[in-house]
Amino acid sequence: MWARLTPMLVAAAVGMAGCAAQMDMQTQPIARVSAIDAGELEELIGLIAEGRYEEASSQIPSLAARFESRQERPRAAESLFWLGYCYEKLDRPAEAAQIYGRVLKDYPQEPAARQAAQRLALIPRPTANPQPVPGGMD
Amino acid sequence: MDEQERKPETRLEMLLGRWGAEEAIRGAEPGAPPLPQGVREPRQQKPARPPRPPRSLRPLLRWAPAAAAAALLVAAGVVLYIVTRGQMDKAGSPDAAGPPPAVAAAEQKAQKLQTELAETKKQLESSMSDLKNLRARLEDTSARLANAVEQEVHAAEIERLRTDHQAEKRTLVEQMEGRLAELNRQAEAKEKQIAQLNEQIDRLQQDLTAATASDAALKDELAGAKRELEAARQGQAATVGELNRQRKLHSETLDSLAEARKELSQMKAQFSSILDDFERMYGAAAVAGRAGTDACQQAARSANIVARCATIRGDAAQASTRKLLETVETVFTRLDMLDPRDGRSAASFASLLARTDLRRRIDVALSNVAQDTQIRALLFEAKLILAGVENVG
Amino acid sequence: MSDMEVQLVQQCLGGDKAAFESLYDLHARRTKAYFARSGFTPADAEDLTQDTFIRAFNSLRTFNGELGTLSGWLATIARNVARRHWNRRGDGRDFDPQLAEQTLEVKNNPTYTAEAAEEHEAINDCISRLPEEMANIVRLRYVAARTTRGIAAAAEMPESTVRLRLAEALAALESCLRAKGILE
Repeated sequence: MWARLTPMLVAAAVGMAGCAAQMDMQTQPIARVSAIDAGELEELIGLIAEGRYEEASSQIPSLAARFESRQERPRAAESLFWLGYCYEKLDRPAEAAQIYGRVLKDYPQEPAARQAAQRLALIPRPTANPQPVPGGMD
Repeated sequence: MDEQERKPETRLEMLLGRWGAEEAIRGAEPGAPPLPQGVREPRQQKPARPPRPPRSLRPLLRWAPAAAAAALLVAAGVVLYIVTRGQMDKAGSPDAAGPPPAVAAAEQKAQKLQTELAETKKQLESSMSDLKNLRARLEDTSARLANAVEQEVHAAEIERLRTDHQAEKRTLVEQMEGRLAELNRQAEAKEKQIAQLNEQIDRLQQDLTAATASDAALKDELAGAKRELEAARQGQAATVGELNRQRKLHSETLDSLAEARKELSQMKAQFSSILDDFERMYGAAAVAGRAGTDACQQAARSANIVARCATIRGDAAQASTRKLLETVETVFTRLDMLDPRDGRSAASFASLLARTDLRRRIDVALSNVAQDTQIRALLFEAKLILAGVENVG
Repeated sequence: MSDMEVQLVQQCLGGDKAAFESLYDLHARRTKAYFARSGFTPADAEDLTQDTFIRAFNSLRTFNGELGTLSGWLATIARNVARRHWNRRGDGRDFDPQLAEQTLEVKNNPTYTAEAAEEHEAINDCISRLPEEMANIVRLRYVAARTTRGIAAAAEMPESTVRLRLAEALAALESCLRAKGILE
């Protein structure tokens, strides 16, 4: 335990050092996002963190569609990822794998794709034909 | 076969009868012949004979009449001979021309003798008849005499038996009276003994009653003492049991304490080492100018928090722990996908932390001493990482 | 009566002691056997035999050869002597008087005919083949002239057993004598 903990503590120390230095976060130029949509994504993530997967999964598809329409690729990918995450937590592995696969295929460069790949490796292989994703996301 | 069961003789029996007689004759060994004149040889030794029963007179009586008749006949014959001889002598004399007077006298005499002889014969016959009667009477008298003798013998025997019986009875009565007197004396002595024993028994009974009463009281005391003793024993047993339990618990506690102290020492030592490294890294990181969120992301990725949550969530015994690990998994997944260049990412993550109250919940889970080791390690790492995120905010 | 006996009688009457002894030898066994089979002890049988011959000698002159045989005359004397001393016997019920009487009727010389001699030997042989107990009972019956009661007393066995053994012995003897042709 301590062997594993040491690197972590080192990493934490790095993080804390950065915090203590009060470095200025250089804002990188990023795509302009809708504050409302971003807040909605935060809200959905909050629901997911509270374990309210069903509730969250019903709202994600429309949000993801909006992000896609505005070419907000990182958030679109993240939204889809969280949809797959919900399906996974709702014990719907086939659908989850399908969503994760779509994230990998459509948004391979986004941070969500890396997580989608990790989650895809964790869930068991779907044995039946996956149900179609509601919300017309396919 | 007995005489009563004699059956008609068969030829076999006839042959055997003759054979047996012949064999008996062959086997008979007579002694020397008797001497002439009827004198017997002196016998060397006669075996003792049983006393002969008294002879009856019957055999003699049987021949008596014949003997009497024979004697009379002989006498008559002699007389006749004498008379005849006399007559013949006279018939042979010279003057036989006519019966001489002597002859006539002799003839008369002969006739007279014949008459007397006839009378004698009659008397003899009468005597024989009388003799017969006498014989019969004698036989009868003999029989009666024999009976009388037998009865006399029996009566004497009975009298003797009666006398003996009476004497025996008298003796027995005297013996019984003596025995009875003796028994009476013994009974009196026994009664005296019994009276003495009764007095002793009464005294002993009184003593026993007194002793029983005190014994009853003692028994009550004893019973009470026994109860108290039993209660004390039970209490002692319970105390001993409790003491043993406490000792065991104390021993276990001491062992646990020793183990905990050992672990604490180890933790202190390691933590001291970690803190030293942490301090060094803390300073190095500050020099490097790494962003806090980025550093936390790296730390979380290095610790592989998300995958470990998914893996060990099933080991959680409590539902609250499982739920906590799900939250940790979600939060750290969120952390992993934050864009460090986005100025709002740190604030949104902090907001997420506040919404989920994750730090407090981690502290609560860590305070559980029965927590699984792997879960405890993961939560501790998560706490440290989140501590850096806090400072970032 | 045989001529020899006539001559012996006359010689006895003449005071010939030797002739008397010859007569004695001819008839004493039978006389003694008669007394023994009548139940007298051997000593008494001897006494009575002597008594018989003394009486016979003393009354020999009254013997009439034309009226009967000498053995018959002697038998009469013996019977009278026996009757006179009848009480000297033991238990008279132990002896069969008919068999005892048969002693006086037997001819003096048992081998007077060849047939009789053959029968006698055949019976001896058959009896010798019997078991000892049965042979003993047969001899007690037909030689000693004992009744069933007398045999039981002598052999020390119950009368019922005596009857049974005797019947078995007679059956065996009958079979044996038939085989020898003595019986038909």
